[in-house]
Amino acid sequence: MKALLVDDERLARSGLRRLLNSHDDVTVVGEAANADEALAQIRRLDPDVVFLDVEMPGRSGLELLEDLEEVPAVIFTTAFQEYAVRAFEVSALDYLLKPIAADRLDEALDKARKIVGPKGAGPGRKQRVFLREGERCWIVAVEEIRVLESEGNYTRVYFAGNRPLIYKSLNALEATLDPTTFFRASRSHIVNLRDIQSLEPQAEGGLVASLTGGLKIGISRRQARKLREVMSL
Amino acid sequence: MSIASREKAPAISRAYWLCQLAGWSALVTFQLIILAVLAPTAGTPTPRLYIAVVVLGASGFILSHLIYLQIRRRRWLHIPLKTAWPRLAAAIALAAVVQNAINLLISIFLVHLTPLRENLRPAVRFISWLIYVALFAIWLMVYLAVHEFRHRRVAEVHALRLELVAQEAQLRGLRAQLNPHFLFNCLNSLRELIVEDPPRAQTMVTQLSGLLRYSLQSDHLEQVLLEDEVEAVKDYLALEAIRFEERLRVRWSIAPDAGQVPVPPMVLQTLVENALKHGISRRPEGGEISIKAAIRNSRLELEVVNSGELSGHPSGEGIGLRNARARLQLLYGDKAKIVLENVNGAHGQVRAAGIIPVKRGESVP
Repeated sequence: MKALLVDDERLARSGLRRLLNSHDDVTVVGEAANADEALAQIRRLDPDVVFLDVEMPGRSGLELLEDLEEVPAVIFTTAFQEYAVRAFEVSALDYLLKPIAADRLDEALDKARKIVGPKGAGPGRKQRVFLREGERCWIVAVEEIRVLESEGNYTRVYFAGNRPLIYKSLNALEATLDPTTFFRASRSHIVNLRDIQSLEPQAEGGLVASLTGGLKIGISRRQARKLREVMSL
Repeated sequence: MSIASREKAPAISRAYWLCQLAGWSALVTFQLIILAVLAPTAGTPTPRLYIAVVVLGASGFILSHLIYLQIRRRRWLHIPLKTAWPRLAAAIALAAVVQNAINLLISIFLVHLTPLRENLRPAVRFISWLIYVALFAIWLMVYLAVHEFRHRRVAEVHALRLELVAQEAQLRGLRAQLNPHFLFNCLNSLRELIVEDPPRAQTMVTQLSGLLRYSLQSDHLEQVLLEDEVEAVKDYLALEAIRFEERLRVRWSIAPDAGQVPVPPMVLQTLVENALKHGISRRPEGGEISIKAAIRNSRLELEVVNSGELSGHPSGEGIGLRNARARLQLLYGDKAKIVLENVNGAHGQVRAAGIIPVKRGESVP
């Protein structure tokens, strides 16, 4: 597994590196001292797992995640509990309290191995995104998202019983999504094609898609034609 | 037996007896003096008149005391005014009737100033009764006034005590403690430093001990000497220097007399911590922090200047600074303050200043 260490303290980074030395399958590919460096390193090095200090001067670790189109497996490190609780809410892989105990690190790495797969970048690896609404955050596997609904400059994201309002436009989000899975149903909706259970034709030539869980999304006439092509109906 | 009367009422106060005695004897004395002055001219120098005055004074004393006992027993001052005042009025009227009767008996058997028939005339009796009503009404008003005054004093003392307790609790809540993030980050760095640079790790343990000891010891103190706080801040900065490595430069300027001024613990520490957290740590190239303390116009002026710029929105000020401000306000009122401002210059600087009044001859307990 390729690991990236993000912490503003050099001693904290070298301490973690020393702990990781005893794990043969983990290679530390880089270190970053702040959020901006980390962003560049993640894009360049494509690490499997990121050890992320939550409390850094300037932009915090959470703000960093928000800027990523695709979130790697994240293990938060923090000096004090209060941030750890929040990190847990973001459904991060794990969180470690500093100074990090070796056996807790082993546990966290075991969880990472399950997600990343033995050789890294395996089929187990899924595209994940970071969603934030106010104080609440989620790391969500993209395939779990069912519908994205435009609300002005914001977008409401429906997944697994949650529907947070994200400060990103629907168009911006569309660009980061796989077009073979996510379909632009209309100006205000993007639908996960795997969630569509049935399609009902409308008088105007449009369609109404019924999704698992009872959601109904209208599909405009133009997009309906496109959908028929995609699904070759 | 009513429930109210079974409750053990507090003992009748000495102040009540004193007032009661003083009031009635003053009235009697006054009447005796008037008699002594007027009697010779009226041509009726009878000692029986003096006895009558004393007897009426005594009966007035006893009757008013009975009213007082009723007020206490039936808790008339604790029930709504609407139900209390008719009862008080009735008590006064009844007392006046009794006093009036005693007056009549005295004029029949003791003093023979006016013929009995004249004395028994309803108009005369009624006017006499009215005078006694007025007398007891005055007594009641004096009693109520004194009662109200004492009651208010007690309530005031009670409120003051409450305020003090609240203030103590507030201070305890606002007490600045060592930031736990800082503490555990320190321990984390220390663990690595033990491998990397053992002598430096040893120094770090000493500094961390100094800071922890200060934090624990000053915890329950309202004030400490500035020089003690300065020592703790030096330890703190030495520890932060390990984190910041070459990025942190510090300049000190503490006037010798300023060191002896008592200050609330952790106020300077809060200013310095703030300067590091919001100033130096956000600058990749690091920066300088300058700490000054001097006495001017009987005020201690603390100044912490750091490279950087205020973020602009006041919400970014941080809980530490807000708490320090609230603590100063509680301890010194408007005489103390903390200001935070941008300093214009070639390089951006932020200045945090704390002003604390110095009391002459004050010492830390």
